[in-house]
Amino acid sequence: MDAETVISIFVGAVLAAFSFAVVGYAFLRGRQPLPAEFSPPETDDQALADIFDSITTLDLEFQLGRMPEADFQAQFQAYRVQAATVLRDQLEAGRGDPAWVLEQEILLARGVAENAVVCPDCSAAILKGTAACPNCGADMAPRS
Amino acid sequence: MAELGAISLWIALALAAYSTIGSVAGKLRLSPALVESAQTAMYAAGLALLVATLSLVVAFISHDFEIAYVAGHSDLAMPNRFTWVAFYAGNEGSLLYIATILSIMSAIAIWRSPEKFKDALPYTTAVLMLTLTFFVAVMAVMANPFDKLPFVPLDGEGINPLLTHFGMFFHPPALMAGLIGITVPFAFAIGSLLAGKTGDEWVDAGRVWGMVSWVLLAGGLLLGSWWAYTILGWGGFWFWDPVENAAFMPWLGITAFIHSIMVQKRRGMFRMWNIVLINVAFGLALYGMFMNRGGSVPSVHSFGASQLGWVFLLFLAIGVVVPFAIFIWRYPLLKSAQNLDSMLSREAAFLVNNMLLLAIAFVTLWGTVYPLISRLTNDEEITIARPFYDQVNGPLMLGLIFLMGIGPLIPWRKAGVAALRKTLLPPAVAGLATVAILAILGVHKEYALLAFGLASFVTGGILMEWYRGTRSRHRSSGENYATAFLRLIAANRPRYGGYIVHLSVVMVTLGIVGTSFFSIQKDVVLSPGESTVVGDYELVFLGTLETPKSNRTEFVSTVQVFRDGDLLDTIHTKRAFYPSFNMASTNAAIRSTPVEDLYIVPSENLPDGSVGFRILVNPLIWWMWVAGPVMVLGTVIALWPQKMRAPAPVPTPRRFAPGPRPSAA
Repeated sequence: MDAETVISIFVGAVLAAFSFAVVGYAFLRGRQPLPAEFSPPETDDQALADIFDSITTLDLEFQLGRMPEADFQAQFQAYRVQAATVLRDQLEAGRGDPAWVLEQEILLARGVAENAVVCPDCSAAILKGTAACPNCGADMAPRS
Repeated sequence: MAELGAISLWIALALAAYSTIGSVAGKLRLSPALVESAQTAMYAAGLALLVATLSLVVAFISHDFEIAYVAGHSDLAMPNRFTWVAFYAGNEGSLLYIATILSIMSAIAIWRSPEKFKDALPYTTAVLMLTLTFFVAVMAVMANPFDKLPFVPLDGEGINPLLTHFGMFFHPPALMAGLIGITVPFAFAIGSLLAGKTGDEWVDAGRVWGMVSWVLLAGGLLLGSWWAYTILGWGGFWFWDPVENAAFMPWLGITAFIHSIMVQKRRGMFRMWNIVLINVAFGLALYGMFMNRGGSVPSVHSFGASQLGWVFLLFLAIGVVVPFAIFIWRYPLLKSAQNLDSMLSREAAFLVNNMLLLAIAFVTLWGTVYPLISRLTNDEEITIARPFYDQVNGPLMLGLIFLMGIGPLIPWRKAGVAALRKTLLPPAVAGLATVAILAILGVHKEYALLAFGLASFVTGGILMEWYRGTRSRHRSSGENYATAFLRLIAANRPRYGGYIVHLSVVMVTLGIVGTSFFSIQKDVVLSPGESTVVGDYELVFLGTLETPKSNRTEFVSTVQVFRDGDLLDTIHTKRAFYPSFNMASTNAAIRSTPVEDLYIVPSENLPDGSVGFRILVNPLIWWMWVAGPVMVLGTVIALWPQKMRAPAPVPTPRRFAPGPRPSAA
């Protein structure tokens, strides 16, 4: 048996021992058994993030003038209901501050109505505060 | 090194098998220690496979010809840089490569899995490790890369000359990684089903790993086409070869999946459909690997006759039947959160896109297996060739490109007809203008005109989106146009990364249409000093230089290229003969521009010094090769993590700031 073979077998044995040790380590730490189901993960924040991600996209499409205001409002309301459901679930599960949740719902409901204006040149519904109409490029600065 | 490699393989096999069983048992027996131990075993299996990989690399570099695989795929003359290629040039090494890549992907996927998925993670681990166990077991028992020869030869057989090409450094590994990578989103889907989590918990991981597999397969297919174009010497890049098809079909399946999964992510829809799609993609990936290893259709790509075919066929059968049984078991729980509101919506566009992609996949599957069916039923093998695929898949692909132009411009849920008409008008005008201009310039092939028009339609839509978004940012925030454009892309990476990928698909379309409809080919024998005319080019053959090398004889022919009497270039094209393989390889001389390629390859060197040349003028093919990096760039942008959201769910304070209740809504 040459030296290379001996070294190979030695390294292989070290690898086997290391593998055995790391696999067995979990049992040495003395974990408590799991409950009947693993604890439910905190998914609310991610769900909310996804809904608001969708709202951001919707908003972009609206700003780009690809969607009439009525459709925008309808879709926004649908997302609002989804968000409200998550917020309510959060509240029922005791993970949310009731005042904060209520405030969020009110702000969401007000959002569109307060912020939509009509472009004087092309009549596209756009966000209040936008410097120029994303549809026709008209200047939207307040006129004196 | 043979001993260390073999030991590492057996350790990896034991760890993968333990991880499979331990994950399921730990979950069922509610033992977190067992689940954790099984997960650690998964990481350790990856380490063992890395040691095995390293052992084989060292064996190649040190010319350890005692190992049969090293002796069969390298020799003393092989430069070290080809070790990477030789590693996966044969059945055994490619299996080790696949297993190592799967173990690395599994480790990253499990380590980076979303918190909300932890509940189902043991089942996902089990699916990944069951697949790994299969590959390592096949290697250890049937195709061990560390098997020794009974004697040590003085030199090896050498590497296949066709593999000594730059494209081979990336084409096979990218394709193999892409095929096995589909296991990851598949494992998340099946893990989710097994755990009874039939909602959207697996969607993020499924989308990310689906895109990783997609870009690997797409890059692999493009690089393979480039390799075929430059070295195989027939001037084309796609032959509808059974093994090409076997890699193309899973790509179609995963393309459908990465579009469809966006609908589930956005709207909680298509839950059943996405499970079906990832099962189909996984089944097609297993079929691809089966075809490569003893599949019954001969191909330039397969690893030759091997006994592994039946084993892979059995694994394919299990990999298709069991997941669908699990799907049927969980079917009653797979309810979508919402229904399709309108056929004029992005969701509907994605659904039609899925149907077209699957139709192309199944047409291709039919063409691939038809020779077998005809042999079994009629005792007569009928081969399906390119005209079948062109006639059936061509229109379907044009339909896909049309949808690629419409889909991104339609809003989610429901589109207003008037708004949609307004949005689609500029790209439609761009498409029609392109058709009109080309027709005036003398292009009268209907399919080509339609394809160019659609390419222009898609490009117009994307550029319009970029322009409007950039202008909007510029006007509302005062950013200069360059900053506004970059921030626009950074603000919604999946969307704008996807647009870049769509542009790359348009580039591929240009290459395919250009070569399919407008290519010129001429086969000619020239003696030194003779010339020929092809298209606008006049070619003068100057002569051939014969150079003996250690393992081959090279014939380098020099050709001058003239156009309108002006010397454009002097190019050299090479043909090499390898006596030990009784094989010749060619290196085409390609003068490439965005307009067209002039392609010259020597098909035969005759004893009198004359040379048989195949000469082609391939319009627009340059765009196809440029598409590869663009596609990778787009995918990287789409996958690049967005900045973590603040916990407060309100998107922008500006929009939803408190204020007085409006008098009229």
